[in-house]
Amino acid sequence: MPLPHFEYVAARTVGEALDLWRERPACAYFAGGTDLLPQMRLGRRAPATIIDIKGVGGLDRIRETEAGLVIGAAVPLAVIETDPVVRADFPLLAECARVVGARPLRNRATLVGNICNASPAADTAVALLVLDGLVRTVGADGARELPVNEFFTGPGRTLLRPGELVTEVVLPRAAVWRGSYLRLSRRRGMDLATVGVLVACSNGASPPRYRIALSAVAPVPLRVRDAEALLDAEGAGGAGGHGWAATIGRAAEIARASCSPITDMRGTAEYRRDMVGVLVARGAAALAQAWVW
Amino acid sequence: MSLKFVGKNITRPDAIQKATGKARFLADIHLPGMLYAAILRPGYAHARIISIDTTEAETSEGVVKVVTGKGCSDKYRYGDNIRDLVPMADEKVRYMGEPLAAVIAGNPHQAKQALKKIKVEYEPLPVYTQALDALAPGAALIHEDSGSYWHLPGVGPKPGTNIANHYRLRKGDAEKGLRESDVVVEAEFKYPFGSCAALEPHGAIVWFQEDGMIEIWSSSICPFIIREEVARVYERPESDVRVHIPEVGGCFGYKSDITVEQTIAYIAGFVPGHPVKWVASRKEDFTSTLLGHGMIIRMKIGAMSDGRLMALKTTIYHSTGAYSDTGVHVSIAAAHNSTGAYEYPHCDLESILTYTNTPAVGAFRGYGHPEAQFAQERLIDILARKLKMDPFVLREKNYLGPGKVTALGERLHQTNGDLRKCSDIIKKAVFEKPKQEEDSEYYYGRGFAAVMKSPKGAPFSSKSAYVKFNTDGSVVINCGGAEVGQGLRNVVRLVAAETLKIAPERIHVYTEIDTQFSPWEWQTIGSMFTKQGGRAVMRACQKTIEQMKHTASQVLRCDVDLLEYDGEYVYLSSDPSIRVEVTKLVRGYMYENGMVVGEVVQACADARLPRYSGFDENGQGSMGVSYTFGAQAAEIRIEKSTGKITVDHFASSFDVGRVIQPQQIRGQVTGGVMMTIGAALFEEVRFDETGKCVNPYFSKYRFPTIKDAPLRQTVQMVETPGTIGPFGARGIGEHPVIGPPPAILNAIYDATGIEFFEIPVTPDKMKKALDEKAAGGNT
Amino acid sequence: MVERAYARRTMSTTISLRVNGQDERHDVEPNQTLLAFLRDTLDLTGAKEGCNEGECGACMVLVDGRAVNSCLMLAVEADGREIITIEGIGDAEHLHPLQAAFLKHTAVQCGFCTPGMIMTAIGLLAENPDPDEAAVREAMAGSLCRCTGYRQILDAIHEAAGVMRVVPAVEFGMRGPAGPSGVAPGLMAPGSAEAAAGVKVLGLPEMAP
Repeated sequence: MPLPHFEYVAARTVGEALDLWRERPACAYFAGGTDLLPQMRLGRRAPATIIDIKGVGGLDRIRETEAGLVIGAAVPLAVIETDPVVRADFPLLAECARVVGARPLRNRATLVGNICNASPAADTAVALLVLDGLVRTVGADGARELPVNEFFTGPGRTLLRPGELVTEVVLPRAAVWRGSYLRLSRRRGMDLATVGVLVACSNGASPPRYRIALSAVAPVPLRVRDAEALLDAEGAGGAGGHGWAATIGRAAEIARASCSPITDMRGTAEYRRDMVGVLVARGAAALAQAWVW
Repeated sequence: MSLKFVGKNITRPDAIQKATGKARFLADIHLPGMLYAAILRPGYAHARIISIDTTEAETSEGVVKVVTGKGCSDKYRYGDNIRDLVPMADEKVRYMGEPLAAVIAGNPHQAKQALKKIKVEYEPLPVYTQALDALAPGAALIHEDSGSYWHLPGVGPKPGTNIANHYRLRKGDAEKGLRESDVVVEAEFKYPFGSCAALEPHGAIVWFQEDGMIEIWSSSICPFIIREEVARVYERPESDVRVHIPEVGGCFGYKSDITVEQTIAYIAGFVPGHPVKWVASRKEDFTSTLLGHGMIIRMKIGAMSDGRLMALKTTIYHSTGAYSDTGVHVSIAAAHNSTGAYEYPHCDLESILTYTNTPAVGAFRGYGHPEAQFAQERLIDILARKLKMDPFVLREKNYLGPGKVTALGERLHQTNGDLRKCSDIIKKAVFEKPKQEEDSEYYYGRGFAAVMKSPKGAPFSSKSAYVKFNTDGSVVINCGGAEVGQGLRNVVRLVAAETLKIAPERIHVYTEIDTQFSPWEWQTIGSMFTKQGGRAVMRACQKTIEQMKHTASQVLRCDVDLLEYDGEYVYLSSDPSIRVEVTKLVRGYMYENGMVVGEVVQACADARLPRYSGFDENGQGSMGVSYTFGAQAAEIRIEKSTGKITVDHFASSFDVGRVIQPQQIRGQVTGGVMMTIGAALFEEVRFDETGKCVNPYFSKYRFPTIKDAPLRQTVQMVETPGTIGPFGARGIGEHPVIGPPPAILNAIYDATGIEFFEIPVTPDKMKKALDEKAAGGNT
Repeated sequence: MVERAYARRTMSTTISLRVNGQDERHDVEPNQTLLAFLRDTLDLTGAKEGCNEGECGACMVLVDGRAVNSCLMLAVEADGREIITIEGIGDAEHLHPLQAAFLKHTAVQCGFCTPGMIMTAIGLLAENPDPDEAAVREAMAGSLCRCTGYRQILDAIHEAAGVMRVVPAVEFGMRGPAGPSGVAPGLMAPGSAEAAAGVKVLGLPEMAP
């Protein structure tokens, strides 16, 4: 289907964007458009007004602040994945950004768009969950700062209120988290995750801390805190030591039990659950190999 | 034979237009006064239409006309084989992609917006998406009146059932053969629905003109069938229907036959004087053109303990979708080609083509061969294990070859190609080294499949060529064959260059088909163009040489048979200095006094498969005529923890008779292999119980990306010249898709000891089977 | 006679942009995609619509030097941008190295994906002039081909990359500045009109048997 009719307006300031939302009917904020436009073609969304926020001053930048690295809502994923600071200090985000769609899509798609779309399979969400990312918003009730860990409420649903605009994502500089995003899909190139697992470890912290986040296996991307706690507790004395393999196995089992996948075109619920276990174990084992404690 | 152009990597003539973005496809065509159609698809897969209310849509912005199919089924019946197709649903809808109503508007957007305002009431009927369900006793009839449909002799529906056609071939006595066999193996296989999913969606433009002409553009490979069918239905002389084929952005089968043109013609008939354009959305390309496959194959093989194959019994349940015209010959081809590359003295092969509430199934690259030989090549491996015999020894004992007789009753000769040579090449490429041992992460396996492909022609499956010399000695060639990417224009050019002994750059090959000017061709299917079209080109070229010699014999005052032609001159063989330039012969030869003798140098010729026939009461006949054989194998790895299957290496070898352009053949093979690695591992068009297609988008119907391409593909051709095609060439277009699914599934067994009987083998299925095996379960 | 009713949306806006080195100024509808604008308004039909959801890559163009799926970008967003389409990178006289390599390796079959494939590859090579095969596979994964099995496309890109590392793209008639690679503008007579006129008119007779 072609795109239905709508009015296109480009906001220059955050205030203007909010005003436009208030004044006009059925608005949608618009950055990369790579999720919104296909959804409109399918009739799943039908905004009467599209408010382009790419021209809003400052939203197109990555900047250093006291609170951490701030990524504007209009910054495309391709910029994030190649940004030297992101790559050095937040390598997990660069890695997760790199698997969203294909490169030309990421020249347009944004990080903020990826999380506002709130797909259970959102690849960047798992990185932000692990990094304790914060979502900064401005709405009719003023500004808010929402932890990404609380942001998702269901498939396609978030804590955002009508008209509330996500302006940026903050990555606090608590520790450098390293790890790998392990991801299965039907084909190798350009596909949604059937299962995605990010297992990370705070680099150089003593004792080491662990984090695990999952995508495409529950209504929302989620952390597995019980499994993290187990790895933190058992790994305190040094990962890779005696009994570590068993600990990883138990963590994987906890992760398996804490997801709630569905059966769809991409795979069965049973398979997804099993793969959460496999990939958590694999990710944790890879961490043990990667660092000497 | 020393060849100057054939066999060389000479650039395709159409490549530069395509690489510069100038090649013109259907969607790129705009005509004055053009209107646009959008088509409403029903909300039910099988239902009686109670009412259609178009009032609101008619007043929608930009709308010119709203059209329904009411009453159309009496007058507008289409079908080349079985006339069951209507351009638009009339009293009932039979699948969810069926045209139900259409809006004609000033632009595509307005037409699509107005569609939403059409209201339809239905009375739902039971829905069948699989042949076996539609065949169950008491099933509702999808075509209540199928007994009244016109059909070709020998095919046709069984009234009172959902059977659209029943084909049965008998060779020898299969029951007896099975009884006398030492060993019998049997299994049921499934080859699910797939989409050819060419990058260019299907589409058509139809224009009813003031002078009575009906002018059509279509992204199709059968302009002449469209012309003949439209002329018949609209009761016009065929000469009043003009069909153009621009560049076609991929076909792979599903743009054959008449599939969308009848609907656009019906719609355009309401706005005479205006060209009406419709291009399928990607979703419509899945749900409202043709699908492929949809077969359940039950197969039983009987063999002696020494490995001699005795008997084959095949029963194919083929879901043809709501209309059967396009599926009937696929079904027949699947049955008689289910022997694969082996000789069976006794055969009982049948296919039951069944109406279902899904999009019509039709040609898909391979045309019945991939489905049936998927079963054959899997079952041969299973038989070898039961016989405790090396599968290569078993195969080699039974390969078709010189002196052997196919299921159809055709005796083969050396000129049909050397399957053993292909088989040996693949053995060396893949099986010479010892198999890689499993390690902590992976199982490794190798699997083989031998391949047989007959063209599946038709008695009228001729192709023709027109060759015209220009005054400067350059040449124009026109054929009716559709270039869909396979590279036939280069075949035409290289064959002509070789025959006429002139440089390819001096030969211009047609860039579109236009039935008003193009020489007649049946349709460009069945991997037959190189063989037949190339032969037609050669024959036409030879005629022009004869014309030149004839004129030259008058000019040089000698017998015609004393003359030779070298591309530049016609000369006396005993004294080459006695000669006349080609450029002085092409319009006839002009003497100094201005008088001219001799013909204009231009000629038409055709070619068909010799003695091609229909089938007799046993289902046998001369329906293969020209065979191509080959062998393919896969080297795979299976990740133990995830069930993920990776094809590390795929090898193919075919006896193509003669390689016309090596890169083009390589591209055909690597492309076909890639396509069916997708089929084996992840592609499937799926329907839910209501008959709704659940994945009609590229975001949901996944086919291989560049990242999925195997790291290695071996492609090696054998050249045992045939007797029909130019310089001995045979077809290759479809062949590479036949072997990959069975080879990959045979490799899965080799790696894990797990038998799969259906595709795709997705990682979840693979992992489940591995888990069950580990748990001691029976797979 | 059929009554024609073309509606004009009141909300159309005017955009100014540079396409293949030529300044363009046009009214566009808000819901018009860049792809539709290029094809319908400028008659630059080299970019193709294969899926309309950013999955196939047949509509790829360069926007300020970066490869973008033009079916997922609104025409209004192109205001003030530099667009390069397949029509702008080379012609028969001065083929772009990628075009030349696609020809040489028979990486062109049906040709529907070819323009998008080449534009995606230009975007890749602008960022990474010497990609290994894995990098090419990664960068090209959003451009689907159903014909070739990709092997000859990989070979062609590899060869073109080698040529382009030695000879800068400016030598190959790339029109307009191509973003990251910093190519000089206006090497060739620009314009969609010539491009359109260069296309063979359908229906020209070659014989009348």
